[in-house]
Amino acid sequence: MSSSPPPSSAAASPSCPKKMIALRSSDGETFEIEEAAALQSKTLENMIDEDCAGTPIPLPNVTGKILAKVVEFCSKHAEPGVDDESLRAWDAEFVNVEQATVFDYILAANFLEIPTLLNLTCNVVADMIRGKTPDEIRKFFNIKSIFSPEEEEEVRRENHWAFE
Amino acid sequence: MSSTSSSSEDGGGAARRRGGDYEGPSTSRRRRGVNEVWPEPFLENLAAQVAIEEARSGGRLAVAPSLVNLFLVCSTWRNVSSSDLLWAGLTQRIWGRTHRTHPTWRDEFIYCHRTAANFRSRRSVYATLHFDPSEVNGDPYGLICRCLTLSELHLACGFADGSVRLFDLATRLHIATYQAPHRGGLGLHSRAVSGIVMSDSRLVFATLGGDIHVVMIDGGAPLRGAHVGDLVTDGVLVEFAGCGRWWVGLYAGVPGRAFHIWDSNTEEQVYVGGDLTDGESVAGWRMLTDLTQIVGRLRVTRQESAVAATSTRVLVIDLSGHGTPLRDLNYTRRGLIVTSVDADGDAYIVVDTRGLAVVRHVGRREDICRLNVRGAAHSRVMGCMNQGYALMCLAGAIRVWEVERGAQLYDLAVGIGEVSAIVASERHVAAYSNDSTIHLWDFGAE
Repeated sequence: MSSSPPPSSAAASPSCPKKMIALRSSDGETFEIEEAAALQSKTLENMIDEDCAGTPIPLPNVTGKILAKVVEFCSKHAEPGVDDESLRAWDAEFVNVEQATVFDYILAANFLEIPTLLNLTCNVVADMIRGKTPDEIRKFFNIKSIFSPEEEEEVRRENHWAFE
Repeated sequence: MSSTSSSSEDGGGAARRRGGDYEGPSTSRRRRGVNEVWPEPFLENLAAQVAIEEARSGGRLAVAPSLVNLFLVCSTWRNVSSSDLLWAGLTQRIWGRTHRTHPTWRDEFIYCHRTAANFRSRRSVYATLHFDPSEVNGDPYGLICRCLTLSELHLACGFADGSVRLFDLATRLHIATYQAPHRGGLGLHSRAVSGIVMSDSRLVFATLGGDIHVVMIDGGAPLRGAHVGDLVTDGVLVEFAGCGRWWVGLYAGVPGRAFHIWDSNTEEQVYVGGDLTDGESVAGWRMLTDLTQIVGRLRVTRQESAVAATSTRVLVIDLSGHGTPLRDLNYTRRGLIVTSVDADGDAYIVVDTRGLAVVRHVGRREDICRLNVRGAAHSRVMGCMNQGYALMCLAGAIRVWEVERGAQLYDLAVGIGEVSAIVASERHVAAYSNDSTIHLWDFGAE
């Protein structure tokens, strides 16, 4: 007697292959990601809904190096049965990278509209800037301030209420 | 799950984050203008995250300076300050306001910040409110205030003769008097007001006899009865409170019927039960002839729960769960000062007979702060609170504490005599002293 796999089986089977989405990075690398993982991205979700995901989706704003990590992140967060504590630990390790890589994550998360990655990187940056003055934050991130003394005074003036 | 790449390059996960000291990008990378890099949605998220963390660690008033710190970094970061969506989220999250009364959400946030700062710094405008004493017709009970309630626009005072007087907070004028009809009943004080629920448009009040009356403040509908009390079946309605969706009454005199809950939209009673006041039955009945009897206190929180207290017990019940007990605290050994109890937002305050005040979070088993109310063991204490501050009136003085830090700040008033009712909102404090003076302090930023 033959038996067919249960409809909700997580394992891929010949009769029920997982749908894969192809992504192409700015430097021409191609990555495949399960549709369930791709849905972590609102940008990709819209494309899937509009049936535009048949050919590799070009992502001109994301390099291959970063796209690989983004795929890894989305896949992990779409994985069934992962408890919150394990996921938090995994996330902590995921963002334990160079500052410049964190920036790249932010840009990719913004472009692809991945709320979970945006929130994660947001927490990282919030930790980085805690207790720092504006000047220290500029130096930390190598931000070139374009405030003239008059402009800075204007910002202080329009926000003087915060210090009354 | 798979991720295949046409390149074998590792994503670089082994590289360690270098934080703390200044670190520019590696020399092998193009030194890009970072000003243009930061996406605004991310910066908005960052500003919100910084604000929430600062509120937790430094208090609500520390949020604004921390945000300005971000705005001063560069023009891209400054641009975030023009996002009204950001300010809307922060105003709701930090100040608990979901409706806007100013032109923009930024203006609303600034107003909330300044008002709270005024509270901390004791910057207020003081006034006394007046009504025509001839209204009382010589009835001494018409000058005994039993409860005060504040909305954004009005102050309502409930009196022992069944009248509720309404004052406009902007003009400070007495604008209306609502009188519960006298239908006889047990005891001298069955008509005395036992609580008021008020929004900007609707006022609901109840009497010790259990009658509930509704009136539209804007004149849309006259005073009408919503519920007829039944003293014999239910006992005395010692306290009445409510929020947007629920009315709740605390009764004493008939065992097992301490709480009555109504759906305020349908005005239908949805629950009767509870044993909180079973031990106070005699005292409850005595309230009909002796207004100095204090049986219990009832207040409603933002989380659709009610905090009820007698001198020996505090009970928190879920209104949407039709009276399901959430927390039950015994004060038999220490004793509780019933008139000290109040609630606002997600917290409530209780003072025991030794003067130890505790502010607790309704939903969590944790104390927000503990305060020492000196003299509470020897004086009558009337208490109230808003989200940031607790006020205790004793021996003619009103003391103010900051709840976030548990720090005593100042005396708002001294020498005003005994107070029979006191109430606080985020902007106003009102108190009724026994010489029939209605005191009003306005901490508003305008």
